[in-house]
Amino acid sequence: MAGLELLSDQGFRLDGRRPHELRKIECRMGVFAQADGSAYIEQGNTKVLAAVYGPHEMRGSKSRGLHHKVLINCQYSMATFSTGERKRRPRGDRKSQEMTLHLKQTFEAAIMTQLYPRSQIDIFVEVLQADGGNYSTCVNAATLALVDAGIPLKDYVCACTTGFVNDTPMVDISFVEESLGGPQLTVAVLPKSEQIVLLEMASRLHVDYLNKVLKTAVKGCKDVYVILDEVVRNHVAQIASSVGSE
Amino acid sequence: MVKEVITAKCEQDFIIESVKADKRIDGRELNESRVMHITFGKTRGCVLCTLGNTRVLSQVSCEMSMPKAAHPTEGSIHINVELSPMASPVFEAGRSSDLGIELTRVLEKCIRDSHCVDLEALCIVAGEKVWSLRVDVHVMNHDGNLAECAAISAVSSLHHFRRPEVTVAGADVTVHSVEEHDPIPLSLHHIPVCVTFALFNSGQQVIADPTEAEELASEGRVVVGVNAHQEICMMHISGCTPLQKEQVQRFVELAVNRAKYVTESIKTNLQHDEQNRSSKNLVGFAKDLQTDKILAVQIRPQRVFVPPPQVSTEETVSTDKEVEMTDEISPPEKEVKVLLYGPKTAGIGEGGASQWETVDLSIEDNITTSVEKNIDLSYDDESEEEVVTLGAEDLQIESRESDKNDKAKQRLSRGWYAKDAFFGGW
Amino acid sequence: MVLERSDGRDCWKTRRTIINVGSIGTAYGSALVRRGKTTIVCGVKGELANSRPENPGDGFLVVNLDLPPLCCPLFKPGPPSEQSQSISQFLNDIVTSSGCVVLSDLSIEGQLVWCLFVDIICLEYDGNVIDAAVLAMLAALTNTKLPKITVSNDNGEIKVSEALEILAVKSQPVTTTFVYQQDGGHVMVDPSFEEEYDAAGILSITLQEDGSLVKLYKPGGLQLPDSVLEQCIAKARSLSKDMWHLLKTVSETVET
Repeated sequence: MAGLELLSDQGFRLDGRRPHELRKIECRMGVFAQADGSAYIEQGNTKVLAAVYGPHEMRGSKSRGLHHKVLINCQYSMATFSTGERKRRPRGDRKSQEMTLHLKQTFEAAIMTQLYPRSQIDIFVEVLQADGGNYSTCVNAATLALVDAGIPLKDYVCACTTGFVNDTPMVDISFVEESLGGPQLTVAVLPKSEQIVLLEMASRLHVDYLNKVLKTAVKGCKDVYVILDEVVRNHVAQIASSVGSE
Repeated sequence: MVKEVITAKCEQDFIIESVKADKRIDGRELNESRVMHITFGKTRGCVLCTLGNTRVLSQVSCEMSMPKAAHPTEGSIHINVELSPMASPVFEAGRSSDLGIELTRVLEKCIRDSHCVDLEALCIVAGEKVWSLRVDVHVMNHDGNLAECAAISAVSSLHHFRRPEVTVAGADVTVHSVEEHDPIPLSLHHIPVCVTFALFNSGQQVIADPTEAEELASEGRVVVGVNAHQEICMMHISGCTPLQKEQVQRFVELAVNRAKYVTESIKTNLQHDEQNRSSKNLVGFAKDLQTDKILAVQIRPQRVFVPPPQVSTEETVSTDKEVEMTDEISPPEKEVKVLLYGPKTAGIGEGGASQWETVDLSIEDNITTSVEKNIDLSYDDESEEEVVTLGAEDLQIESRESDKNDKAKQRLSRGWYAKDAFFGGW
Repeated sequence: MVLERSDGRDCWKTRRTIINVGSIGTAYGSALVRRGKTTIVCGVKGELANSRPENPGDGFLVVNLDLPPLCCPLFKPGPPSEQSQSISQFLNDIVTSSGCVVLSDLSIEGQLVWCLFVDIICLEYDGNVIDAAVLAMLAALTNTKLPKITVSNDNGEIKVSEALEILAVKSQPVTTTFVYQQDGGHVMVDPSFEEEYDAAGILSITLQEDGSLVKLYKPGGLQLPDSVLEQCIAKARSLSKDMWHLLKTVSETVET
């Protein structure tokens, strides 16, 4: 698409944000009663639901259970109406399977798995509307759902996708910014220690710029953490007050 | 259900301890890669790449098709990875496992998403006909570092491939066969190379080009796709160890060095193959077969550093003793006896005389009771078989009057083995 | 005798129903329905296609319901279960029988027609998915805005304009589901998960605004006397009125 400038001369992006600004994040915990933990998050126009079941007994083949840690079973699914063009296969196509794998690897590093041997934790993520940064929003939603389910975590897991245009890293890119090409770095971080749990990079980026982009991405994740933490604290305060003051 | 790889804990622990001491099982340095060989097949676009014992074969093919509506002037490239069951007992035919998906995505990101191939050059008639390439990657043997090997073979095959010449006259499109026009190579922007590192010791130690055993023992894996222009094409860090930003920088630096070497090597190999083809030398795998290069099991001799044994006086005495004892135990050679059982039947090696004290089988009960009284056979949990040598004084052999005595005595002379192995004498 | 159910309702009361439309921007029409704890989201997407030669000028409308493992621990990941397939078929039958969307309305020009995909996902399963799914489908369809398609006469080029026109929905068939227990044959409307699970039989009645019966669905189960059936139909009529009122109110709030 000619004429679309990802970064204008005044330093504004297509939707009027500055390069280091995140999209508006709205989230809610405990949306479902059936699931042990659930969360709904809206990051700009990307809407994601996460539900967590567990820890519970191994379902299916017991031989898949691990004797020293919990088995984490993830499923990433996109609603057929979530993308601009109708998605024929909501799950099972290669990109979804890759996302499922990444989610599993991310949460295996963040959940204290050694506390529940021979058990299973299910994490289901459903994308209702996709507008860029699908994986990052899914990770944030799943973190909230895990906190809602009361599963012990080493730390929050916050993720953020960063693009790079005109020597400027742009945080939390939308679908339009993603599809116009250019390098994209997705990073999932444990915010307190700034440790990287998962790092994905696509398209070409020169080695010299890596440090800059990485630093901006980690800073973006820490901003997400601040928002998530506030939501969790409000939710807990609300629940505690409704349970009773005995 | 995809089978999980099971490795012994002691093997994993051994690898982890060795890496802590800066050693690897096959004697390489921590950041040393295995020897890489690239062999070209007779047909254009067929490449076999071996990295140590890991082998990957890839083939490029092309066909004309309609372009996608969103990109009417661009061709397409499709990468297909086959993890054939011959590569590893874990792979199942026809089912895509986690590893297969990961590998396919790594290759797609490295080759397709990094715009390695110039897709606009594949256009024939805008909006109607374009070339669509297909890269089929077959893993023949899995000994770790599939990403690197597969990427090298896929990229080499793209360089090696030649597509047919096409002339467009208005609405007519003629594809020229190989005899009419020389096929033309694909235009590639750069050569991306994937480098794998395995993480140990909470991310403190990094080893390059891990073997399968090292991969399974590692805490996490890092795959970095770099090209010779120092651009990162893709990066994938996963596993259970969280990392710091500085560690990520380190991998990238190591990867860039390796990429330079690999790019040079690929270019040299391609030139070599071109020379062979133009001078009408024998090309392809047949050439390599003649020199016995490709075998069922290939072992390339490698130097292994063995530290000299530490010599101390006490130990030498004990080793000498052991040496003496082994001399005593090995029996002197005796003449082999052929025994004739009956017509058309003979045998060798009936067992010979028993070295143990002769025991009458009919009085086994007495033996067991006497053994219980005299010897305390203590079974530890660890040892499964407690072998105790019974001396003469431990056993009390009582002679009983029974019909079997004569036969028993006969049997006694032959030890535990019955004389009549096959016929009669039940 | 007034019977009280486990959540405090009486036999003929439905749970609180909330409808929200138009939240999903990528779909032409969308709706979120919450009935008690059962949550259903529906999205309508359209594609252009050529009509079938035996029915020229007729578009396509395909409804599909998905019960993912997200909504209830009973559902396992994998291909669509029998339950989701049978409810999908139920929904397709309602659309065809009631004529709520006339297929010839979906034609654009000549052979070119719209093919609408109505995808329904259950987000939380607490019984009575059928009623909620039907409501979601109706709410999404009534608020679907399709882009105007013009076909230029000279070269047959298809132009998709930014202007949107609302899909014409001729009628609104609303379903009311009843269950009845083994012992005394007490009939209850809008069952929750436990009530559905323990039920001896299920009965779904679909009615239109003009009073006609669109579909009667009683898949096996314990036999039901005629008098009870008539009673259920009468109750369904009065309960459906509330649903029509709700749908109308929601549509009015949507800015055109």
